[in-house]
Amino acid sequence: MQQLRERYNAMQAARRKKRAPETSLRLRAMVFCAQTAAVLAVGHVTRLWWLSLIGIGILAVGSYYAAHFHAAGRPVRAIRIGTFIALHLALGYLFVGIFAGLPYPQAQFAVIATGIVTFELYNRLNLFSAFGMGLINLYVAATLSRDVTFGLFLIVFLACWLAFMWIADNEDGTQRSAAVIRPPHAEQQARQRRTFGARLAQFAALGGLCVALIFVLTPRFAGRPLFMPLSIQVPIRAQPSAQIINPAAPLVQFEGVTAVADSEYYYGFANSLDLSYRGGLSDTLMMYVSSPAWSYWRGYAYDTFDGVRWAQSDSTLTTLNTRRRSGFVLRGTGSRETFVQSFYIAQDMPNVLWTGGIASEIFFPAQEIATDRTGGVRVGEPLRAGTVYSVVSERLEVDPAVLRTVDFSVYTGEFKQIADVQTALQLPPTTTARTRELARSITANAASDYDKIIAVRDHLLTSYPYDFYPPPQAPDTDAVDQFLFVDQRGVCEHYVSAMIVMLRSLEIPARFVVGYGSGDYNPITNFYEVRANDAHAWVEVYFPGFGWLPFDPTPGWNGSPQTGEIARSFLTEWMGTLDLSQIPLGQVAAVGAAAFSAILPVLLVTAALTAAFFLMRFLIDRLKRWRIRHPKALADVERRAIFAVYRRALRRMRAPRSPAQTLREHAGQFAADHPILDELAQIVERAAYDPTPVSQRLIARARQLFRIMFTKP
Amino acid sequence: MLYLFGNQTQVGWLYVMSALLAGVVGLGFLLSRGSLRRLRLDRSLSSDSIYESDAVQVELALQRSRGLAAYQVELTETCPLAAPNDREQRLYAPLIPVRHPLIYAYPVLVDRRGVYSFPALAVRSGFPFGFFRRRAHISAPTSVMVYPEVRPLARFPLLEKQLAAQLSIMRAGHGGEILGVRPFRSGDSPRHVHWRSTARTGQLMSKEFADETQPGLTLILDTAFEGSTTTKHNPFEWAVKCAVSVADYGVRRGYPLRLLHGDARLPPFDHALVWDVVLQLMARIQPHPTNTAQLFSRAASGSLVVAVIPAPRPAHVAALTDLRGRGFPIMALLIDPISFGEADSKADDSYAALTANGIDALVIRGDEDYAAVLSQSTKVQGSSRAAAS
Repeated sequence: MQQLRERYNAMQAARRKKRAPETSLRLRAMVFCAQTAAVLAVGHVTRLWWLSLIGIGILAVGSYYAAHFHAAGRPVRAIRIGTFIALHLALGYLFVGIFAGLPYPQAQFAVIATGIVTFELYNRLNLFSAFGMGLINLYVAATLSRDVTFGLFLIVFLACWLAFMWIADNEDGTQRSAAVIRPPHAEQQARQRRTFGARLAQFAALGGLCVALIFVLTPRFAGRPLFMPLSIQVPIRAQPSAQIINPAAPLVQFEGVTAVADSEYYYGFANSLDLSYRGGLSDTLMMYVSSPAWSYWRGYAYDTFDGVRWAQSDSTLTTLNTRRRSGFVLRGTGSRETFVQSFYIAQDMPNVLWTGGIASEIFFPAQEIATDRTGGVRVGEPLRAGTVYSVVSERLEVDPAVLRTVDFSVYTGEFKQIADVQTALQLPPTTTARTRELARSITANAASDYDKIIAVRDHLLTSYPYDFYPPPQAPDTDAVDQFLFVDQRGVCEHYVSAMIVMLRSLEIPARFVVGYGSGDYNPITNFYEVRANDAHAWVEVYFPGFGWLPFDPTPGWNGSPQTGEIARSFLTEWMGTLDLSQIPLGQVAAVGAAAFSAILPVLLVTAALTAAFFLMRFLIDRLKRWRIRHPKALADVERRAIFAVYRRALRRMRAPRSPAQTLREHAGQFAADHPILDELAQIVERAAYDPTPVSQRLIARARQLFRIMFTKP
Repeated sequence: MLYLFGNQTQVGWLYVMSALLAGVVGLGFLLSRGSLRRLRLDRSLSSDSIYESDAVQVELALQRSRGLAAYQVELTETCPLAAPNDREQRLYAPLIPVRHPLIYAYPVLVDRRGVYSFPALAVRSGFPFGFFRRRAHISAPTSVMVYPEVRPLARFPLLEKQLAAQLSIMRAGHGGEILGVRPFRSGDSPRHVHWRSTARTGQLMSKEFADETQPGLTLILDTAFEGSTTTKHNPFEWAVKCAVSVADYGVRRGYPLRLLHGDARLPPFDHALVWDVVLQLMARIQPHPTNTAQLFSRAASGSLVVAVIPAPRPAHVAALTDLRGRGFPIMALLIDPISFGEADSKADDSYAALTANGIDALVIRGDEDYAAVLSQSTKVQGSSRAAAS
């Protein structure tokens, strides 16, 4: 009981301590270092180094003030008022910054607010809160970080935090105690340092393992989209353009002339694609994509081919006006699973929005967007570096067994009259007979049209080596014919063109799609890192009843680039049902409501966890008080522990003791099967009848006997 | 929160951050589990014979038997020898080395006689970062017997007056009580060899027994005390102190000492006791209901009876008067409970009755130096009364 009372008093003392002025300069130094690391992290990811310098300056002044005035219990009233005003001015600056298009206004606010709040670091709790502020800065930096250098700042912050906790525990222990016992000799102190090093190494090794394990095992759920996450951008006002505007396009381009190797310009992102063009692509990071599912990032498609050049037969755009939750609706969602991708543009790119799966809704900062006839999404200006947008898509996945049952004979009838299909069956006049013959021979044994597609694809995958720099296109020749029969090597456009021509010769509608491959997935940042040389082309085949399905005949790529598995959880579904955007509050309010609805589940869960924490603390507090006030209720805990072990043993044995039996008689009855029961019965007797206190050793022995009885040899 | 935001924003770093925080806290939990294991404590005291009010030093030697050193350990040492308010002290060890004891010694002013056991050392640690607090108790069984305070009386005139005529120096004989040890002499019974002394001195030693036919001093300590003994300053403790001081005086003068008490939890001795046994008895003795007449009737014939009474009542007067009637030279030391804050006292009445019956009596008050009162006991009756009045 005394022990309980001591614990309770210690708990209360710790609470009082947290509210007393913090006088430890070492602790304040750790807080300053941690906050500096967080502020530098923001500066690093935003490249706003001036912001970091200002932030660190305010932190330094604020920390000095707090250490010398707050710790001494003489805060300056004017400073307190000034802090209050400054915080509100910073908030105003945030709102102005959002609408004035300042760079990263949320990051600026986080840094400046952190600095201002430093003036109010009064007690230990405030110092903990300062770490919270640092964590918010790191959060901002994390959402903007695309590479692993952010990890350095994170490690420094973590080290400062742990050092803070260590020092705080040491100082508290020293203050609470009448004396501090230290090893007396220099030799022992040297040993202490060595031991500490060993402990630190142990902690680092085990900690690294623990963190890695948690990181790997942490399920990553696909939540609802946070529209333009933490970066509210000025919307593009220009009308969507049918013209593909590619900022990387060279100023002068000679037809058929090999361009500069390793450029960021992919000649497929234009109004037409010339197969005679040759050139390599650089390793430049073009964009980061956050997606719970693997996918190719589709741009748009070409449907007409003249033997050398691919183009779109119809450049008409359909402007999208339908908005929901501030997003543009491309199509209604069906019964397929949906997932959300966020695209972070790192380099200036064409005025095309990349999408994964079957895009149904796009959240993009523009007044208007439009779609072309091939499903490509256009905006009025090129995508500038720093642009962020999200896409809600349906998962694209169809079972091959189902596709084998699709009857393509409908193309011979009225279905063929559909404009898109008709165009997708068009063959260039330069198509040679041997190309058609090759298509027929490859697919001679195919049981279904789907098998014909697979046969053509596999033929291309296996028979033609990939070559970044194939020979120049000969004048007045068919590019497909030259690839298939003359050069017999090429780049993805050649494979795709050859597959489409062969499929069309077999009356299977197909078209040429350009976009990006998935890129390399970085498990640390959770981004697909898409580089210039991930620019790619693939084939889309129209399946009646299923629409356009992708196939990729290029070696080294995914043959069936359908959407991968989506990370899901019960949270995903629950969060997906909340939609406050239906409240008619006007567009601005709808944006706010939509954003709020996205954050609401997090807030609710956080609030629930916080409430649970405080409730638990309250209940534990009450329980402790109750235990102090009702000592009798806790009497004989040790005896009861032994009785519990005995009862558990009887239950396991399925051998209840009759009321008339003594413990020993009962044990004797089962002596053959459980000889140890007799000893356990003796312990129970001793616990029941011996007035001296029951020792922990006796309890341990009872538990040990239980384990021996029921552990399989 | 970070994890939930990670799900919402799909920012990988948030997963890293949440994994880091969870990992550190999880590791803190794992490491804290073993932080207080394998700690060993040795406790020793600077003296073997400890008397009340002595200053002794308690030394703690704490170490970890194997593994890595323990860090950030808070210790709560409870020393039962100290006064109740000074018993508990908190210590802090930033590090407890492995296989190299960490020594800490602290002085204690021994508060009160008795037999004490040190409770286990309570240890607590927030290692590694204070996320989790672990508690444990390290036991180092240490029992200490604290003898009562012995104030050597330079003189005890009242006793000398009574004893001078009849008592002689205690001598060795064939009694049951061991008087001491001496070198083995030819003709001694081998059964009387004192093996412990023989081992210590390297010479064959023999026990020497007291001659129990010798008349001596019978000290009666009445244990029928119902007052409070929670504080150190109480009539019963005063009675014990007086008794042990008188016993010391008697033993120093070489008188065989018999001790009669009413504590049924302690063995009754009807023969003369050596000094160590007297001290042990006096260290252990506690108030216990007893039959006064029966206790007093056990006095050995021919000896002087000194009765120490912490709460005098008419029954004591009757018993002492009866003894006096049987020819015992008697002296009564009456402790006055009122001077200790007790509500009820019959000390004055008892004193009056005893002196009226011709029994030497002395009233000792709580605010007096009892040793001084005993030393001046020739005129103590008058002076004590005067002080009391």
